[in-house]
Amino acid sequence: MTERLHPVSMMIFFLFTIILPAFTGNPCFYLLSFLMGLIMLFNTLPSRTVARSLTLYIVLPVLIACFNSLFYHDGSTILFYLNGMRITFEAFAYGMSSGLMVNSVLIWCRLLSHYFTGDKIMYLFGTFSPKTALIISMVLRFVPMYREHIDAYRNTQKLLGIYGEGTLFERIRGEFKIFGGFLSWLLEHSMTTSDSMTARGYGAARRRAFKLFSFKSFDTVICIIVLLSAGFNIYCIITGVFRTEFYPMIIFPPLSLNGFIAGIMFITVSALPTAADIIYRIKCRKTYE
Amino acid sequence: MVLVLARLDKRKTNVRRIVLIAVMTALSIVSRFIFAAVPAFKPMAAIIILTGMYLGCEAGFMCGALTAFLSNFYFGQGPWTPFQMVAFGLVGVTAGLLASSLKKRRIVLVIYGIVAGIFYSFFMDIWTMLWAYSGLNLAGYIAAIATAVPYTVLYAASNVVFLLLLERPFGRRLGRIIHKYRI
Repeated sequence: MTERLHPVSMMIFFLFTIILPAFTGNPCFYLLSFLMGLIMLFNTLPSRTVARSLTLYIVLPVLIACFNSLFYHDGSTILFYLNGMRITFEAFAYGMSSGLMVNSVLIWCRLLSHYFTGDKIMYLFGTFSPKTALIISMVLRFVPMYREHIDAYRNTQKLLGIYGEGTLFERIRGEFKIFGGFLSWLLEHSMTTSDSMTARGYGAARRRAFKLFSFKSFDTVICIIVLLSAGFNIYCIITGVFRTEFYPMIIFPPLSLNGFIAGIMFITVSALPTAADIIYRIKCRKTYE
Repeated sequence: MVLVLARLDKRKTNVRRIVLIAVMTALSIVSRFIFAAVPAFKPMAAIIILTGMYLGCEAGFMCGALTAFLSNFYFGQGPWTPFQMVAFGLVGVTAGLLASSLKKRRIVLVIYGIVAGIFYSFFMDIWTMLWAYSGLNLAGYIAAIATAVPYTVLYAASNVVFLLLLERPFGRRLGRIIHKYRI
């Protein structure tokens, strides 16, 4: 279900989940966002891949915390002295909290790059800048083509015995020869491409791109819920519901109804695609049984 | 960014120019693949500088920004993408502005390569600082620059090496194409 979302609603969803937690300034919210992202990641990627990257998500906050406590010496709770520098608990906690924020943004970005595939980018760009969309689509085509072409070129040269053996210097020279030949081909080829584009009528008249996606009811639901919850969360951020102080002492904001509602709203939004996926899977299984 | 894109769209650009921009962008992405094993030592910036030099400011910007944006689809998209896009875009634009002097003297090219490498590294350090401290913070910025020194050196060195190696074959071939097809 999630991969069939309309690009606009998907963009809104990911903007919300990536940017909003970072602005709350509250470690609990970071943790919440990170966990929700992790759940969605487990739902999208094979669990072994996710489990392998878990180490990074654990090591990163600790690293940032150590780094921060080495450079920052504010805070009232002194843990120990290192070369005469104060290492404080507050600086360490602040580092941990920023590490969690980094984690949450990283995990949502990873999901974004998984779901936001080339066709969706093309769609979004195509609506406001067709030329950029054209360039992007050409690049996405050229990259694999060039890699293949370079390999073919190299193999030919090797087979002919022109280069490939010899000292390191000779091999590097060979690589540059290949690159030069490749470059000549590349530029001539680009001219051929552009001529063929002109011949087929590019730029002859106003054209529109074929619309691949349609705005379905699920998109409407996602958009409305995301916008509502974003509005409420921004209100909470402005009124300081989440504000946490780290220096000189850690002061958590008092538990409030607003903060609670904002948390629940965030959970609802970030769980929506996963829930839709799971419901969809159950439905599919039922039809087959 | 959006403004530049909008401007590009309004103007009637040559089809060949558009294709050349796409080709150069694809080339710099491929070059990132070839050197994927070596961290920070990449010919990307050199190719973007050459594009800016020979095809003009706009092409340099497009090539830089799109290289960062699209290559991150292969290497991992993240909050650093916009920063990379702006940094590479600015490197390309400046190369386009300095085109005539860059083409004339190789020493200027070398100096520009070094400056571009340092600029890119410092620009990305702004990102590191904003990221780690979630706000402006001078001490954090200096710490980020200090930890990134080996990368800065590598960026600058790779720029110089690749600019020197690629400038002549590139210049000759691109110049020939531009002359032959009147772009």
